[in-house]
Amino acid sequence: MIWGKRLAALVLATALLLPLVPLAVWSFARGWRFPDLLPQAWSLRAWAYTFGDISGALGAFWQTTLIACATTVIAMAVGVPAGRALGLARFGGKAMVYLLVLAPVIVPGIATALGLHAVFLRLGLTGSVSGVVLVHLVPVLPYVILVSASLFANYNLDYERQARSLGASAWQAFWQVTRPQVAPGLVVAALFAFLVSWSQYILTLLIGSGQVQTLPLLLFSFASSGRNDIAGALAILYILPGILILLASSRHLAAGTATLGRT
Amino acid sequence: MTALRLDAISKGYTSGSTVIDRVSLDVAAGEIFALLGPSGSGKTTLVKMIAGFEEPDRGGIEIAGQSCLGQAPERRGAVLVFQDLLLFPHLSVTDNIGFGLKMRGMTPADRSAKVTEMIALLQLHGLGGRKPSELSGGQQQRVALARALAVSPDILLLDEPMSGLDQHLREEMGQTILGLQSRTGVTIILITHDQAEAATMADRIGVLLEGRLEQVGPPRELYNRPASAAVAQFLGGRNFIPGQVRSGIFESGLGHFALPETSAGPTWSAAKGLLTIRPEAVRLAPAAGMPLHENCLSAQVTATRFTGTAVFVTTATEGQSLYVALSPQDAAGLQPGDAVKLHLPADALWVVPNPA
Repeated sequence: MIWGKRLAALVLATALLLPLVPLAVWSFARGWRFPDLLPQAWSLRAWAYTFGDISGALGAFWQTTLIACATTVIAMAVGVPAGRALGLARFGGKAMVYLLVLAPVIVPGIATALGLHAVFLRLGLTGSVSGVVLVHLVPVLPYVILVSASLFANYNLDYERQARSLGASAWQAFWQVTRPQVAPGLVVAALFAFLVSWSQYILTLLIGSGQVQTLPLLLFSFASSGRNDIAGALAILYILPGILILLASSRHLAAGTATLGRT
Repeated sequence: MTALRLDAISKGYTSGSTVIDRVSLDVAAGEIFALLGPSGSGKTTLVKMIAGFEEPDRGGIEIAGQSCLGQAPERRGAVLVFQDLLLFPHLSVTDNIGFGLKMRGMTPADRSAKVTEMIALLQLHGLGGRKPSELSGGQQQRVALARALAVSPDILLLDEPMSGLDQHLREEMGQTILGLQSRTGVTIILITHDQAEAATMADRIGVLLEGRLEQVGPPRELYNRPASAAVAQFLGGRNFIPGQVRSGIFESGLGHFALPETSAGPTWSAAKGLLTIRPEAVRLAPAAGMPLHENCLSAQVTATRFTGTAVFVTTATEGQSLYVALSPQDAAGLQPGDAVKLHLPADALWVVPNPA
């Protein structure tokens, strides 16, 4: 049993990590032709370039981080109350609301983006960071709303009533009793929001009009121009937050499912 | 002093159906009052209105002499202990018990003293650091009680406090609650669907049927002198003989029965009524064993049912079924088909209005 689990974990880790190995190798390679198993020569040139001033990689890294953080904060502020209402309240047309919330996930992003581009142009939001944050909310919000809705749907609101009966105000009941219980799930929602924003390409390209440079845009331009070594270094920089978040949240993910599983 | 006064409160849903219908009730301070009713009778709605989670459409609620209509739950002197207990899973036993005190802004030193007192009162020694998930069912129950009592409420509302417990734990919990009441003097309103629980715990019982408080009184009175056939039925009464009262005698198709002389309730003068008697009050003897005197009739056993502590005997006489509860010793050897004599002692008889 335990060996079976370990084997499964090993297979999963291999499947996830193996594709990244060539990227790491490329980032240290100086010429690597087809039949060769390893590069002819090694070099730190790609890394030096990436961290240098000319590449703009560091600027793009911070820009992407800023956009992803802003998107996450706004998405949580809007999405958690919406999810709470969807999860707890009973009202007519709830299925319709769910469908509307899901719409950005169902409709292809490029279609939405082209339509939004025209609107954003008229509003003067193209080419600005705020415009990019706004358009990132389109794919991010559904995640936050749906995760919080399922979180609250499994939450027994009588906990808040019990707290009230014992002397807590409405706000105290939420903050002292509900918040600690739903927090692990909300952390997961926030991390997913961050990653979804972090990995946006098309929306940033269209609405940013080339003036908002993020890591995925930079990565794509180097990859398509055949600079595999720099693309490799950038790709590693690009996947770094994902791996860090996964490691940091694995405990929260487990706690989150435990919270949901209990009721 | 009156701890709780309900003044003709009513509550309906927007669909027009009435959940609570003009319920009036006074509960004295220090009393254990059981609100007894089947599921769907409106007990939960009534309790939510007392605790402040719902407002009545009409009528008044007073707690300790103060009207609390429109008052938030946290400002009321009534603390509800939910059926699911709802111990806060992220807090230790100590923090659970101290929760209400913390919300009231009590200093950590005072809070700690009060929590210690509660831990002693409910025998939770050594469990203060545990999380609720690490406690047994009985311990969780005691923590929930300690948490509610810590805030020194005027009224403790207990919603089905024993429903989640095993039989032996129920008795223990019943004793715990009675002990708490005698030591703290808190007024307890017990919400239950279990008549035995209500009878063993409460000073008085209120029977709630379909949103109406049908009868309020001490347990014995409810069992022996039900106000209606519905109350009698809900409390396990199964013998109802239609007939009419005429000058202290109940005349029915089964014969005439002498009624107790002392009591004269309002229903006794009504022409038509149902004669009722508790199954355990009926005396049963072999056909030849008992001389046929007043209030006796012959019957035939049609079924017996062993319940562990009693035997329920179904008998039939002239198309009327009569139920008798006997101790297993007294029922030994009784078989379906046996001819028996039944004695309905006059002092155990009672007449309720005939709803038909």
